[in-house]
Amino acid sequence: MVHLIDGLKVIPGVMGACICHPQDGVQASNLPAIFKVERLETIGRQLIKMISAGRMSLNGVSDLLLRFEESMVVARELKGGGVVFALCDSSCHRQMLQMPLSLVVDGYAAAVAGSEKSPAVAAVVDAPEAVVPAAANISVDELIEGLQEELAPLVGPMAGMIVEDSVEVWEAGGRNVARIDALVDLICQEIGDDDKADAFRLATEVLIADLKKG
Amino acid sequence: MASAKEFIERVDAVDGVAGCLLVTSEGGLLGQSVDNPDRYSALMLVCQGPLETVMANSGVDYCSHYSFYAEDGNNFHVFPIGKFIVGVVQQPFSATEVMLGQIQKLVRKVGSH
Repeated sequence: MVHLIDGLKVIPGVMGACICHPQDGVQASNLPAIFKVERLETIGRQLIKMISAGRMSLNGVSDLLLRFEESMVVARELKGGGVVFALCDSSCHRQMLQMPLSLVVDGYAAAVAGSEKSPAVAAVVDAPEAVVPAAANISVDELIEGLQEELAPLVGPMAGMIVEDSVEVWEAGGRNVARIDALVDLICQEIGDDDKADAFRLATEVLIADLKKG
Repeated sequence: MASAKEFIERVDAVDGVAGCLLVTSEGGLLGQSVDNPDRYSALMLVCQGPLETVMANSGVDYCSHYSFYAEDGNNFHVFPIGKFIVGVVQQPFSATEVMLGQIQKLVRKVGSH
């Protein structure tokens, strides 16, 4: 996968690039070693959130650019919800990255469609469809709404987005009451803060116990 | 900071600006010259947390601006200035860098007061 981003690094001013998937994390990087994988995953996931928010509010968003004092980040969404981003110095121009970014997007789409399917995509495609009684869906919907209400005081306006993203991943494995703990785990991963994740688990315990009883 | 109305007028006068809005970091709308300002202010607020996280993990402590580039040329640029956030809607296919440079000068001047 790293061959896809080699074309970006040769552009003057580009320090390196990274491909990050919301579930799989970093899939490729040619950035300096100072950028640890955990750090790149965090950056990638936040860029995905910003692009998703931009796409929901604006028409036809293609790129996101963050300009700092001496550097900038240019990011573009990939098929399957991932992102490719390049870290550049301030002398770099976004226009110079257009063609290489388009090549990455096309190359990534081809890789996902072909034999190089990313694990997340494979998991979604191969996941067995769970047979769920219709009545259970209503309770699950109520629970999801409750989870968002409990999450909002902890993470603010990102709560809706976190729950929505987590539910999307969770549903790929089956929308089943028996798997509700997996949904809570996914949300806790997205929160990215142990204290807040613990508080969220505590706040949702009663809610989940009620659902399981029902 | 100068009056919100005056600031909005100055930003609107920059070549390539289709409209702008000024909000507090808590979400209060101080002034605007765009249609549907709530849509833009919600986006600006939602992006604050992720932006701070990206900055913290990139080793930077100052963001000049961030921009959403759209295929139809309706780009949207956001300038965080301390407790305030300025959002600027760009006229399709106008000169982006020149416009951003002029707004940046205005933002620095106003933000320093």
